[in-house]
Amino acid sequence: MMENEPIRDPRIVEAMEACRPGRDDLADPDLAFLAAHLAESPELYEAHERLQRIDGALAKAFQEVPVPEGLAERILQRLAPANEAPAPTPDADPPVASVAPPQTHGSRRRWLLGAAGLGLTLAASLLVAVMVSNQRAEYGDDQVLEMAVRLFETETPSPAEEHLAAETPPPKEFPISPLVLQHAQVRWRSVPQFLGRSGVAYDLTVPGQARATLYVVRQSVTGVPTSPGTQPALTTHNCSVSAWQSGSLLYVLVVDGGARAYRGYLDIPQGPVARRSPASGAQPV
Amino acid sequence: MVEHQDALDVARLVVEYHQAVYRYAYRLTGSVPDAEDLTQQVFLKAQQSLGQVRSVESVRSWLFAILRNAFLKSCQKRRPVLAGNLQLNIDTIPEKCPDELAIDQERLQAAIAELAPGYRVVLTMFYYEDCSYREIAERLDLPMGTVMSRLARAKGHLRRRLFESEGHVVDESQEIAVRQQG
Repeated sequence: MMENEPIRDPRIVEAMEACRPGRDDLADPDLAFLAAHLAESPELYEAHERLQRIDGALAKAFQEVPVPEGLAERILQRLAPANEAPAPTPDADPPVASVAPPQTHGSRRRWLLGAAGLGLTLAASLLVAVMVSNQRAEYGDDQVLEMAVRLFETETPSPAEEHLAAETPPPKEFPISPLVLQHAQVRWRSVPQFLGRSGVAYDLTVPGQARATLYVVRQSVTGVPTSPGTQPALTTHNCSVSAWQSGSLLYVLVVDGGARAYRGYLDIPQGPVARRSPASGAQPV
Repeated sequence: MVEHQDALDVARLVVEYHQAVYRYAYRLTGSVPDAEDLTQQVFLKAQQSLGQVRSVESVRSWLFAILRNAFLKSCQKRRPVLAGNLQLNIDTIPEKCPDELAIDQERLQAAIAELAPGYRVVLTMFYYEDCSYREIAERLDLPMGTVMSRLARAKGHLRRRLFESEGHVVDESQEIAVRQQG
């Protein structure tokens, strides 16, 4: 293939476009012919690499949609009256977009409807508040540490899943702890499952230093302190871990290294001392 | 993540998944009110059909499937889609690395909106859900060749709209208007 010449073979084009960024899709037997073409043609390989990079950027951009405030409450408010409606058939059409308020006569009936609506709103809001902020302990502190290490050692997040915190603010429900080292390179990603809940993982890793991840979930665990110790609560053959509770949020810091590497990622106030900057020259947030 | 089958109640699903569903809905509809409305429809439908969930691990995919069906059902007018001729012009792939690329969200959404619903769904499953072409084919019950073709055309369209320089005029005559097939 000549440089900058369009790739005209639709089979190759479709196969290249079907490869997801950061995934080993070329291992798919049906795409083996593409792998062979890439091995033979440096120009094609270079085009494939560029396509992968741009697809990674696009995948990240697809995730960047701000969610309107109060959406969960509004959904729950609509669900509450639907709960009282007659049960629909399984293949019923989705309900229409908006529900017109019932037309009634008489101020007493209107008042009753208003009161009922207010009650449902309050109930829905209370439900959200209870579910989000008061999830009770289901794990012991030892289990938390062990599960965090297991997650840390097994997860392989793709770059498309991660967001630079300085550019894309993390979800407000899962803020980073002020007790860990924060710098301009901190990245975050959603964690679909940790301790049975979804949450956020902050990749705190300072370039050139030990890998470190801070997991945040809404979970209350008995026996967990309210701040990380200067010594890790658990040290495995290659990881140091601590967990601490801040209100309904559980933080677990896992560092790939010993106690010294672990301490390098803490930022516990020791008195009237300014926050530290990471040693590698990364700028504090 | 929802923990036990018997703990599957819709309020919990709302708390856990409303953001992911809304983002998906926004990419498909391109409008905040439409996305919010579609999100509400998803959870209403979920409430009616909780018994269909096969496992708690599949809740997210299940909600996304409800979303896609509701979206496609809402697209009553079948509009022509711009589908480029199927060749990959290397010049249209930006040379900058992704970190340098600032993708204009408005242009991105406008480019997505130009696609017919069937193409939009495939594209969003690829980029937003991180589905392979096989998974897309299975979930949409489409032949793999159809998925690969739609994916290639939709991605090419997106890049043309997003990255071709203003001085580089897209030859619209090369774009073939085809009817969306479903």
